[in-house]
Amino acid sequence: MIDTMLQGLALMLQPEALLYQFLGMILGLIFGAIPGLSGIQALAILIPFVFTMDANVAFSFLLGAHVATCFGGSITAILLNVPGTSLSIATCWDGHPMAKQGRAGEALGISAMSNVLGGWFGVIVLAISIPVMQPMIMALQPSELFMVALLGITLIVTLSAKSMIKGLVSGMLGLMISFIGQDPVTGVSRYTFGTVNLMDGIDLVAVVCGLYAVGEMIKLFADGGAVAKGEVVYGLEGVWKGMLQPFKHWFLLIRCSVIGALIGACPGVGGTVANVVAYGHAVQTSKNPETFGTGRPEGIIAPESSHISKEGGQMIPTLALGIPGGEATAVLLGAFLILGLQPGPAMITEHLDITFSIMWIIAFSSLMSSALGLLLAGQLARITSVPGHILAPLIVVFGVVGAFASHGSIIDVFVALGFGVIGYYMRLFGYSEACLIIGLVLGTIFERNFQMANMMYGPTFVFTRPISLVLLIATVIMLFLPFIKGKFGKGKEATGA
Amino acid sequence: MKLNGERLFNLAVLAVLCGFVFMAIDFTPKARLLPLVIGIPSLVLMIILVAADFLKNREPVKKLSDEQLKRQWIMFAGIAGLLAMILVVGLSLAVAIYMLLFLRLVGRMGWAGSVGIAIFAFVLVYGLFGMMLHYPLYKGLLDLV
Repeated sequence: MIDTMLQGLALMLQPEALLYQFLGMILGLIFGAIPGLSGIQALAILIPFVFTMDANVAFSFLLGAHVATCFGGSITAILLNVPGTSLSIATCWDGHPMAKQGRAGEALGISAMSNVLGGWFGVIVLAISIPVMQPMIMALQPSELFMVALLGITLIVTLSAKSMIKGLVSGMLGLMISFIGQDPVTGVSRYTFGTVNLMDGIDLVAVVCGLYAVGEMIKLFADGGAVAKGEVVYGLEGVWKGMLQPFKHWFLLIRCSVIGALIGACPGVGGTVANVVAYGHAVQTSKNPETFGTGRPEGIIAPESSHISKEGGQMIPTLALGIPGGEATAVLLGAFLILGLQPGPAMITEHLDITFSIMWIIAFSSLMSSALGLLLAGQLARITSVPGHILAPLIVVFGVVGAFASHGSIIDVFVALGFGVIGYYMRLFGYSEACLIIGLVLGTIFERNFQMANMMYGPTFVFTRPISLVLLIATVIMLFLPFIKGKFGKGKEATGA
Repeated sequence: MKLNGERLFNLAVLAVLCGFVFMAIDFTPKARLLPLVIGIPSLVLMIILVAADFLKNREPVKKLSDEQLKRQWIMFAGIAGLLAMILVVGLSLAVAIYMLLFLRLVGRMGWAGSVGIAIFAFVLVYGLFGMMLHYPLYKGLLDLV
C-alpha cells in the first residue's frame, strides 16, 4: 500500500505533470473568481487538450484547475460579496463583513489555510475509505439524503434569530421557489405558467448572481463610499493573522472537513449543500450564534474547509463505482474514458497508483492554489477601497455575465436582474437572503429524496432506517443546541472582531 | 394607515405566497404535498407579520435619506437601461454600452478609462463566451453582434 502511495506521488511529481498542474491552477483561480464560471466549465474547456496526455499529466491538469476554483470562488465572495461559484455562497456570510471592516486580507488568509487543511483532510478520508468505499456508498439511500437536506434546512431557524418571522418566511420562500418546474418524481409542471423556460426550474446561479452581485451593488451604490468602511489592512500582516485562525479553531475545521467529505461522497447532493450544512454546524455549535454574519472567523473556516474536503469525498463514488459525486466529477468521468480508464472497482485493483496520484494532486493543488492566491491577497484587498460608483457597474456586469454563463440562457440574465432588485429590498427591510438561498439550494434535494424514500420504504422511513434515525436525532440536537447553550452556557466566546 | 416601502414589500411577499399556495391546490396530490406543507405555514407567518405591522404602526426597519433614495433610483434606472439594451442590441454590446455610459455619466470617469473598461467588458463577453466557449450569445432585436 505504502509503495503504491509513493508511486502515486512520483507520478504527480513528474516535471510535465507539475507544469500542467500549475497551468491548470492559474486557469482555475481565474475561472473561480468570475461569477457563473466554475470548475465544471474549466474542466469542459480543458478536456479536449488531454486526448494525447498520459493519465497522470491529464489529471494534474484537470484537477489542478478544478481544485483551484474553490479558492478562486472565495476571493470574490469575501471581497465583493459575490460568490465566484455557487459553492462559495456561505463564505460570503462572514467573509464579506470582515472585508467591510477592512480585514479582507485576514479573511483571505483564513480561507486559504482552511482550503489547504480541508483539502488534505478530504484526501485522507478518501485514502482511508478505499477498502470500504462500496458498502459505504450503498448505505446512502434517499432516506439518508433527505435527512441530510433536513439537517441543512434547520439552519434557517438558527439564522433567523435576528427576525424570526422574516427569516423563516425567506427560507420558506426559497423552498417554494425551488418547487418551480417539473415535479422530480411525477413530472407534473408546477408554477411554469405554460412556458418551457421554467420547466427546469429557476437557475441557482442566476439567483445567486442576482441576490449577491446585483443586489449588493445596488446597496453599495445607494449607500455611497467603498466596500470597506474602515481602514483597509493591505499588508501580509492581516493575511498571516488569518492563516493562524484555522489552527485556533482546529476542532471545528476537522468537524466541517468530515461533513464536507461525507456530503461529497453522497452522489447527487453537491458541494453547495456541504458548504451550507457546515456553516450551519458552526453556527449551531457556537456559544454566540447571533454574532455569525458579522465577521466571525469560524464563519469562513466552516464553509471553506467543507467546500474543499468534499472534493476528496466526491472522488469516492466516482472512483469506486463510476457514479459521479457531483457535476464536476461527472465531467471528469468523461476524462477517465478518454484516457482509457474504467472508473469502478478496477481503479482500486488495477490502477491504484493512478487513484493515489489523484489524491496527491488534490492535496498539492489545494496547497499551491491557496499559496498563489495568498501571494496576491494583500493587493486583492485593495478592491475593497474602490469607490462604489466605479465598482457597482463592473460587478453588475459580472453578475449578468455570470448568470448567462451558467446555462447560456438570456432568461437567466433577466432572473438575475430581477432577483437583484428583490435582494436589495430584502436587505433593506430585514429579510434574510441567506435563508432564501438555503431553501433554494436544499429544496430540490429535500423533495426528490422525500418522495423517493416515501415510495421505497413507506411514510415511517425515518424511523426504520438506522442511519436516518441517527441523522434525525442529530437534526433535533442541532436545532435545539443554540437555545440550550444560550440558556445554560457558562461563558461567552470571543467574537470575531 | 400610511403605506411605506417596507409595508408594500411585505404585501408583495404575501401576494407571492398566496399565489404559490392557491396554484398548488390544482396540482396532483403528490406534486402539491410539499408546496402546501411549506406554503401554508409561510402564508400564516406572513399574515401575522403584515397584521402586526399594521396594528402596531411601528417605524420602518430602515429609512433612506434623500441622497440614498436618489442614488437607488439611479441604479434602478441603470439596470432597467441595461435590460432594455440587452433586448435591443444583444448581450455583448449592451454590457459595453452600459459600462461606458454609467462610468462616464454617473461615475464621472475620464473617456480613456470608461472606453477601456467598456472594451474589456465587450471582450469578456464576446471573446470569452462567444468565441472561446461557443455560447450562443443573445443578439437582440437588431441582431448586430
